[in-house]
Amino acid sequence: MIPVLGSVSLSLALGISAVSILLFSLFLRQQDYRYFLAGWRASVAVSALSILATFLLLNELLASNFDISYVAHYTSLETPTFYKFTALWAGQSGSLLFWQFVLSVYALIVLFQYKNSYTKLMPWVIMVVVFVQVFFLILVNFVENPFAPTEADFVVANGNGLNPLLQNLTMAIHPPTLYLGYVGFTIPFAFAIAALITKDTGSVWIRSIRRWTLIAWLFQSAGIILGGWWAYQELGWGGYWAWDPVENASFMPWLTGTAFLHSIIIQEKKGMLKTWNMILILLTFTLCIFGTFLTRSGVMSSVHSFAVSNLGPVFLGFIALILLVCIYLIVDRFPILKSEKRIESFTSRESGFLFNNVIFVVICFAVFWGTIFPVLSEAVRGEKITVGAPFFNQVNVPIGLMLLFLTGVGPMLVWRRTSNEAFIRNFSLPTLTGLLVFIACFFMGIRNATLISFPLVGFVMVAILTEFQRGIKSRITRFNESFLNALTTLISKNRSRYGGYIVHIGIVLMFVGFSGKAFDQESEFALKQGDTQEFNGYKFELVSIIPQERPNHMAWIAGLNVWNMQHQLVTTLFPEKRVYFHRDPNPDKRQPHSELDIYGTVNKDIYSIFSGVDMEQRIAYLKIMINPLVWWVWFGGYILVFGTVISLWPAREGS
Amino acid sequence: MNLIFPFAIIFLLGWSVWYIISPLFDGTNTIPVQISRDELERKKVVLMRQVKELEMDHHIGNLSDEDFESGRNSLKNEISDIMAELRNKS
Repeated sequence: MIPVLGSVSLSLALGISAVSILLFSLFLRQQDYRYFLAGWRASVAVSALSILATFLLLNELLASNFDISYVAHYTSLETPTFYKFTALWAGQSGSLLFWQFVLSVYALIVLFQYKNSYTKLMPWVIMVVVFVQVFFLILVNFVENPFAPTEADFVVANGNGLNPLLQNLTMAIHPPTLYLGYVGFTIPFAFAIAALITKDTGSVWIRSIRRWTLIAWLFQSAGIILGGWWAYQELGWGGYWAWDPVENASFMPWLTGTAFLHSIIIQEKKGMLKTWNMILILLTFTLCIFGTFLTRSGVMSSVHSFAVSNLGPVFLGFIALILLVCIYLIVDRFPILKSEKRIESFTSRESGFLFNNVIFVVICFAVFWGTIFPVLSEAVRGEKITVGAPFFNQVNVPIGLMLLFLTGVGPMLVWRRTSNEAFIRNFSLPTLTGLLVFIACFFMGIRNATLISFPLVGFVMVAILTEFQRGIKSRITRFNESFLNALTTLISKNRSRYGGYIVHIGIVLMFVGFSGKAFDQESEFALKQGDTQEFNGYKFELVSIIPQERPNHMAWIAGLNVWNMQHQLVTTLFPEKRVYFHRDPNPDKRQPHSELDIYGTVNKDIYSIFSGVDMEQRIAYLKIMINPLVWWVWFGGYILVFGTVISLWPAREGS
Repeated sequence: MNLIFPFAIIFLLGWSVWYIISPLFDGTNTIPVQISRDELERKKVVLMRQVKELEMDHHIGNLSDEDFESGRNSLKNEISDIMAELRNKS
């Protein structure tokens, strides 16, 4: 009966969402506040019922109720409890319900945040959020119902179980984090649409959504980094980013969202780029829906898209509707979106922001084009032309390096116009550092792209640290504070700005990690137990192969000693070869999987993959990779998250 | 067991309907003034923070004297307008 209750909750939520929109329409027509209150409550009920439905499905997943088709498809009796929980977002209908769940949580926060502070934007904001909820409620009610019964004439004794690739701790955190980002952009989108409709396109809506945008951006960034981490430790190809369509789908809204976060500073301070900001946030939300479409429609083949369906036309229809409404509103409101001022000089902070925005959008366009090109080529010419990583790297690496350069240049430029004196004062030290690093790299024999990236890293890092130093110096002279006190007060009193600089430091450190890719080495070899093999300054010794039967898979664990050339033991790695569903009598249903092991240090990772095993001869087939500087990608990610949290941290009352 | 679920569904439906329509019978039909006051207060705090930020930008050399003066004056005017509006509402 719980499935019935779940279905009823979803149907009721859809019906009430229509009532909510009707009540807000009545309020806007008659200006009777009672309609607003009733509409507000209806919106709360929509979210509450959606959350209830999600918990009911979760209950069924944990209880292994195989009468529900979704539960039977994505769990089995052997699935560990933790992964029964994560199965909520493993399949099509569950992940759509999860989208609705996250949106409902966000909607409730907005509803209660503004409960006692009515502004003329609010009815429209809530209506737009409910409108997006309606779309997802239609999907889970009529297209992909997560409570649909199993179509079998007999009692289903056991389910299919969860895809082994998803049985990983990072994969348990990565999708919800990314969803929190994707869905989070609905709130700034709703405010933007409300501002356009009410013609209140000044700075009020920008101030209202800055924090929301930053929250969505934080989760989107963390989700992307976690996705990279998962790919690195689970997929076994030694990389963390492959320009896969689904990876690109999450990267595109991140790019436009990042551009938006920069350009709203210009609108807040100078009243410029109003149209541009509107376009960016509307585009960011549309790209979020497009990303969900790519992941969920099955239109693109990807290691990350675990669902294949016929949802494509429904999503495309929704995207077309959003685009039509956005284009109409922007064209119609164009006269009130004109900038109050103009950019006066090429060497101003405003133009620095504008250049960085243009670069973000150019990268986004390049990624978009490369992502949809196979689909377009198939539709137009009948043959699918695959666009691989070389295209994306060739286009995006130079543009990315230019963006890195601007990350350093931006903070050193002065608002309106940078005088020659200020230019020389601000640029001297970073430029000198960049030059010194370049010379050092050149004499070390480096001749690839890192000959440019490492000097840029030095240039940007010194530029950011100089900005901190100037702020600290200013506080020391103005308030006679100690260095440490000046640093902490500088950050705490200007969280948004200095949090942003810390994010930039994180990005720079990540570029150090990206640069390491140019020095990757790999080798494949077969080792008999007790034998050794030399590779890249290390000696690998196979000490054991241990078979182990676990609840939902069979594992063979290789014990691999890693020695350095001084005959010191560096580490022992334990990569595994697994076969999931090994008890299934049908061999086709058994799924082989390699669980790798990594020894990570600041300067390099030793990455081991157990590709195959011959137990009779006790031979392990291994692939070893030496990946320099990868650690910096993850460390930079932590710094990025830390900086964003500082930016988000609310200021003390009265400060 | 069989009776609980129909009752649960009826309760869910009944609660939803009552929760939504009750403001139509006992709520006020005018938009409360206090609400817009809060918004103005919030706006004032944001603008005051922007003045502080402007002062720091000026001190570290990111803003010319002329820009600093014009920026500060325009922010101060905006704050004065908000404070006047707040006085009118009280």
